[in-house]
Amino acid sequence: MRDVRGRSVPGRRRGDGAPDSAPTTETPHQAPAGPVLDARLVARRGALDLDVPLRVAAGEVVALVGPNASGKSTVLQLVAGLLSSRDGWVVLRGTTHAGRPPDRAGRPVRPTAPYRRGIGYLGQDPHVFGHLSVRRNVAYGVTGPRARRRARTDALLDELDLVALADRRADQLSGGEQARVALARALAADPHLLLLDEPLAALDVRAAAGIRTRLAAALAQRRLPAVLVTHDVLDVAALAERVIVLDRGQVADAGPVAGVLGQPRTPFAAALAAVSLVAGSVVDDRFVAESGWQLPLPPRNDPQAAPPPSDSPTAPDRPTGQVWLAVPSDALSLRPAPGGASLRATAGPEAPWPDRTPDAWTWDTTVTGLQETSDGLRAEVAACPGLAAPVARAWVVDRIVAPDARVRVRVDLDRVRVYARTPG
Amino acid sequence: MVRARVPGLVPVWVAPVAAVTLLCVAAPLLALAGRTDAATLVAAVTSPAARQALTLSLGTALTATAISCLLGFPLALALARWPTRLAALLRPFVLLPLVLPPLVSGLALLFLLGRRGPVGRWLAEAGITLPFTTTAVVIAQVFVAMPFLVVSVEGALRSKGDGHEAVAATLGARPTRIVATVTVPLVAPALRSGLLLCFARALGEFGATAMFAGNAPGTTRTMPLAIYTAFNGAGVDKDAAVALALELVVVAVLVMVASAVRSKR
Repeated sequence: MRDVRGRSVPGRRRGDGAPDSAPTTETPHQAPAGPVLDARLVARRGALDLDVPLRVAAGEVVALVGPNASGKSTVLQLVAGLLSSRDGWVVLRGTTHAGRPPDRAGRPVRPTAPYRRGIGYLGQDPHVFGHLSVRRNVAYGVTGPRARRRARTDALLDELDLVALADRRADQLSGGEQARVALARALAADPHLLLLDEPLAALDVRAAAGIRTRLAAALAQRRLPAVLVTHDVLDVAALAERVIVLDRGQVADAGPVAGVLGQPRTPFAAALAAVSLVAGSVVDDRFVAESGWQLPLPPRNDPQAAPPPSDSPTAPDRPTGQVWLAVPSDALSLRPAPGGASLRATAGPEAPWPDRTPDAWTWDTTVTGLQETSDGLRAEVAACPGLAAPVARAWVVDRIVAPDARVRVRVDLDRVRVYARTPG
Repeated sequence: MVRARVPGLVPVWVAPVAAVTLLCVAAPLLALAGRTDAATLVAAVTSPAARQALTLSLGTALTATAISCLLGFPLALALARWPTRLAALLRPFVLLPLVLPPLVSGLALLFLLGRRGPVGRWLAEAGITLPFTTTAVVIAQVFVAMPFLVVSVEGALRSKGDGHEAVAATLGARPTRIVATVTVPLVAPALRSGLLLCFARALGEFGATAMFAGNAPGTTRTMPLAIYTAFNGAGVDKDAAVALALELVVVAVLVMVASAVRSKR
């Protein structure tokens, strides 16, 4: 029978909505010292050259994000033992399961089989055992005497609202129900660490929201550490405390969620946070983009100018030299420019904005391109390359962004953030 | 459930060609049935020799199917899960009995397991003689019929992937438990059809059996050999051969229908 994870580790922050108490019948044990997972995942697979250090503290949820083929799933498979590699190491709760960590002597450990690791795995495909009932799916990984197995299975069926479905064959359920069965089954096995490989990606929006809430509650109740691979900023916000951004097998950025998404340093993290990220420098209270355009910055010491998160290494003063400019997409807007000759009358009732004010900067310019993002269309404009302003689809239909159409782009200056380009 | 017959998806010439093909398959069997009458049929089928042959055929074919399952499933699993290159190298050897004339298979078995064969000599010293025994019948049937099962199961294992097995492993299941509780149920339809093909092939096996096991009534004379003997044998009328052949056809059809009904449930 597996040990139960300790619940007495301090310093853990968990997202909202998680119940305070953990209604389990098990006695809490003292958590082992050190991280639950200490690993360095090194592998060469086709074009991918992976080298990712990964530590997960007790009760911590780490999100792993990055473009396709950046090695996120490979990391999870190496941790779970579903892939093996000659290099790197995997240490779980003090036990080496593969390779040789630098602080230990001796020969590298040959990778142990997945069933010895006590790691739960939840993928995009729920992989329910279709020939078994929901109850027997959930009971699959439960060990111990019959009474305990039964009690634990019942508790998990109840927790995930599967009692009514308990006797149905798992292959007769909908996708969302199957995802719940897979989650209940993984939790019932009482893993030390849960690996989540885009478990919500294949579900429709409503089902995904339901599972996300249950997953957050289940992880919080158990203080179950997890590694979450996702493309969805909602998953990161709802579940994770820390984010690692992978790019082509290497760590491109890492840190607390607020830091990585609030002050993104990679195009991927910027896209995830719906932020326009522009490289440039600060010259005389102005931001000067590498492509030449400029933006005035609010006066120093304005508390709203660039609120650095308390755990951020960035100094509160405005950085100088090489900086990133981050503009949230909702701080950018795009409307017809005053007197734009080619605008159609149906463009909208909005009057053009007034000219530049102390808290807003505008350019009258033309649209050079459109991007489709997960939350709407963005327009790139000639005056300030790198900034992508939200644009209503109806405007596109009305040809407002015809090449010769003059538009006015507006930036809310109190929403822009400027921070040093080399992490402090 | 809506079952639409959408026009324009199946070429119009398919129906007449399919009808002709069906006729080509059915006509010889109808000719066979027309060759005999009820009285001869009953007499031939109920004769002790016929009942002996049928019992032997069913017994050996069932045994051969069971052995094929026990030996063939692990082989299919290995071919499906081992590195692709190794599997590609081994697969032709598995498929060889499918393409060889059964006579050649029988000859090969005889040279391996016969009294002078490399393994047969060793067995003979231990007092075991295989050729021309009922065991030899089963060995011949396994040799020629097992590839059907392996091919069917390997294909299913490949198309299903190993995602379910990986999940079972992360739930703490050891490999043998994974195979028994996840892999086998996952490919159960393919396994069932593979077993059926295997049984049918074993039931009809003639060439390898004749070569390796001979044609002794009661020990190695299965239905196909009894039919051959009745047709060729001196003094025996050909009506008995026809009757036995019809009986074999009926048994095969019954097995297939029973399996189809089972898999629909």
